Amino acid sequence: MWSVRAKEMVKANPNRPGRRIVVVGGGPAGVAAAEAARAADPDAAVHLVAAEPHLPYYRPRLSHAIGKTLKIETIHIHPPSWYAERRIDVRLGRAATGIDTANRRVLLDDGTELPFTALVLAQGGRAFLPPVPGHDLPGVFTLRQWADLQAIARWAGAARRGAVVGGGPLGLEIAWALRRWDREVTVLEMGERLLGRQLDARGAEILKEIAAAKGIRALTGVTVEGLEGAERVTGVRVRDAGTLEAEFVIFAAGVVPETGLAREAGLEVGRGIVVDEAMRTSDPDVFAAGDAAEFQGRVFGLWSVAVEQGRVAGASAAGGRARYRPVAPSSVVQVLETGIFSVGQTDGPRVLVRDRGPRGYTRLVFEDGRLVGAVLIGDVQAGPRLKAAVDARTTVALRPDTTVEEVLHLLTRRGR
Amino acid sequence: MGKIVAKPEVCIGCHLCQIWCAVAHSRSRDVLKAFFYEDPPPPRIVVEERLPLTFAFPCRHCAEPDCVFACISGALHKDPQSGHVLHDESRCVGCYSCVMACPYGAIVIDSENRKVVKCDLCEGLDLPMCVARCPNQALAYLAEDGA
Repeated sequence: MWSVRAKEMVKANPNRPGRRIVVVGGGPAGVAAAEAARAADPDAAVHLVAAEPHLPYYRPRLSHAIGKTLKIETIHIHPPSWYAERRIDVRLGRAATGIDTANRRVLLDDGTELPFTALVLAQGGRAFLPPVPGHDLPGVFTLRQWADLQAIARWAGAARRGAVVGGGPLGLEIAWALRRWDREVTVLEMGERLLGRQLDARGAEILKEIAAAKGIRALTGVTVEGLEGAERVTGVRVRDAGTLEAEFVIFAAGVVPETGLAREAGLEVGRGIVVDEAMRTSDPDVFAAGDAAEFQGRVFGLWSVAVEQGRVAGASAAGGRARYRPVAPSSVVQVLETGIFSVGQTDGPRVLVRDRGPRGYTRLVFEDGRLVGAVLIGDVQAGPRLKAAVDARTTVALRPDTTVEEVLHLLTRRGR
Repeated sequence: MGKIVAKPEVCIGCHLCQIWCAVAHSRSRDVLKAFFYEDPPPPRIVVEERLPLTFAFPCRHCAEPDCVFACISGALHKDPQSGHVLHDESRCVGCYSCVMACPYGAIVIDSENRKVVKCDLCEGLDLPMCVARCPNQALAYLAEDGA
């Protein structure tokens, strides 16, 4: 009884106005932050400011949608009613242009000033476009936003031959989508290996074979010197390898955290906006989450991390005591219709390999009798068990003639 | 919220739950047709074998499902009415994030379709098929929490 009245008194007291929580960024971190803020404080005003003129959507679906018709409504994270039910004031197509930290206001590009008691910066990142000559020619794209997908679809719809720069998961997803759309496609990777973060040398070689079998040419260890063309891109100039003809070029060369606003506002910024485990920045009323945030020196750039960080940032902004629980990055991807699992080290003193080429590859890495890493290409069902075994640094007694099958059986025993 | 619970003490590791799960999610829903004339889908229930112990392991339909939080395509969702964790295959992009995120290993890769499948508690049937067909009653269905 008392507590109810006390709450009313707090609300009625004009000297204690309610919280105003402003979330900047309409990606998964922003949505999770707004949701968590509302859940933690039913009375706060919650604003969600998104630069794209669309309700937040599942961005990873974009690369799969090249060459297909996709309505954005079908990939919305939540329908419009979801925001209304939670009394989240959504401002679409509005970019934040500045933070007035002294007066606790966010400035928007339409001149609006949104006062806040707590601010969550969740603007994510932007696709990295290397500043090579010709990078601003028509026909050169990155894929990060819905508008990028539309632009690629329009351009590539009338083209036959394209190049993808970047042999990571996104680059290979884009290459496969283009190939499936019957476009000629070449992947250019600067590193020595496709999926360099996931694969060992032999695994990457197998993936190259898989790509070739699907009609995708992959060149590794190549440097893009520039893009050719006068009015529109006509080719990619590759060091020591001449010019590759291309009617369009898509860069999938990584993501740069969006930190401009935070930097101007004087917040501590490293690669991303530096946050503690409550997702608090160097300003106690400002929080950051997702691809824009740097936690313990790392910017993860992963969906599940963004969701979890967003939840914590939103709860913290509403006065909660949430703490970020690090999310283990998933160690499995599917590219070129092929499952690829990788965890821990890809090399070590003792390695067991089962190599059937594109039909399946298993690599188990041991150090001091413990499993310290694994790579699977093809059948990745054993992945979760192998990851658990690596995390637990499981000891495996190896004979000189122990086979991959024996170790798998031991570690992943499970009736199928 | 309904869920399936396993009783390892009476599980004999016969794998019939897997057979019937495949049948329940096959085109014909007939055991002979499914296995002789169709390619039966992968079972969505897993049988753990740590001999002498065995037990069947279905999805727990968690209150805070890690798989849903990890899903990058909106395919996995928790039905607000029933509380069931459901999977919309048409939205699945086969990234397998959920497979790695599930602490119970209850999400199964369908290598044929390069997507995942998971327990849907056989919506539309009185009892999930694995529960109905378990010869030793090692699987039970709880219609409500604690019921």
